[in-house]
Amino acid sequence: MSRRSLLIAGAMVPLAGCDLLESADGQEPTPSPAPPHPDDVIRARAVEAERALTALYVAAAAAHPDLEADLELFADRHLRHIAAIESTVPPLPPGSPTPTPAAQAPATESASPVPPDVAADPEAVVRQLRDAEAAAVEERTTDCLAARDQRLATVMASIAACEAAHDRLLRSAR
Amino acid sequence: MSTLEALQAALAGEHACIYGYGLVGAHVSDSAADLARDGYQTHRARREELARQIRLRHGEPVAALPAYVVPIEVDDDPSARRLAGLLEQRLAVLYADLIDVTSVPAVRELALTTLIETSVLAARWTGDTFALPGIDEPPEP
Repeated sequence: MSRRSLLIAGAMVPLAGCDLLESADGQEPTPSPAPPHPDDVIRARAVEAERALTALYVAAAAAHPDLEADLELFADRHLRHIAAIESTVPPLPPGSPTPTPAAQAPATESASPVPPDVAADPEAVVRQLRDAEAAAVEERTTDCLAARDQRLATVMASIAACEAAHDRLLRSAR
Repeated sequence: MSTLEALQAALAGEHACIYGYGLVGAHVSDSAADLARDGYQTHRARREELARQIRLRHGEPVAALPAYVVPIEVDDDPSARRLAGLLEQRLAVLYADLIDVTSVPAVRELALTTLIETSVLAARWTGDTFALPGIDEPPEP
């Protein structure tokens, strides 16, 4: 037996074991659904993060009307990020069934969002927004590097760039 | 467009930007002198890195032109700031194009880092940002 077929035989054992355990549980072994495409996972996560950022700005603008004009512009840009991410979903091949786009899945789950808590002190709010932007830059950077689709990578890079600019612009906001 | 062509386009953009920063540095007020100097150094370092990436791919790095047509007449601090902001916004488009075309992870990472840097510099010059730097085209001045 070649080394390669040994490896394959070895790999089969745990799978068979899993099937046996499920049967012992009294459950029919069900075929596992196809895992989501990695880019769909990235899109869904990023859309969720951009929604959370938008909600944070809306709450901050409501709590601090003196800062409102600026913050609404920031919130609008995060909304545009969501549209840009959704524009990267590839068209379905003709004749295929219409699955729920992965990017839309979390929307229904968070349909009744609790408004995020924002600090009462204006300086603390600005710090909170800057921390959120800096964390988002890190996440979108990771997403850009992991994306399979090059257009999705470009959109993630551009969003990260906007968020880094937001962080810098907030430095002089009071 | 290939990765090599997009790298060459970015390098040509950096040459133009370095030329423009010469004008910017000559006209900004003292309060922006550090920013102009930092930007100038950043673009020079990037020019070297792009030339290195191009040679790695057996390309001959494009040379700078002797002079460039500047889209904004620069004769004082506000016009110098506008030019610097526009240069950064236009460069962002070249780096977004590079991410669009390359399948080389190291080049994608270089372009990503640079797109972020250039957008932060644009924000510092203009006090504003596009929602999608590099994808949103800067308007004609």
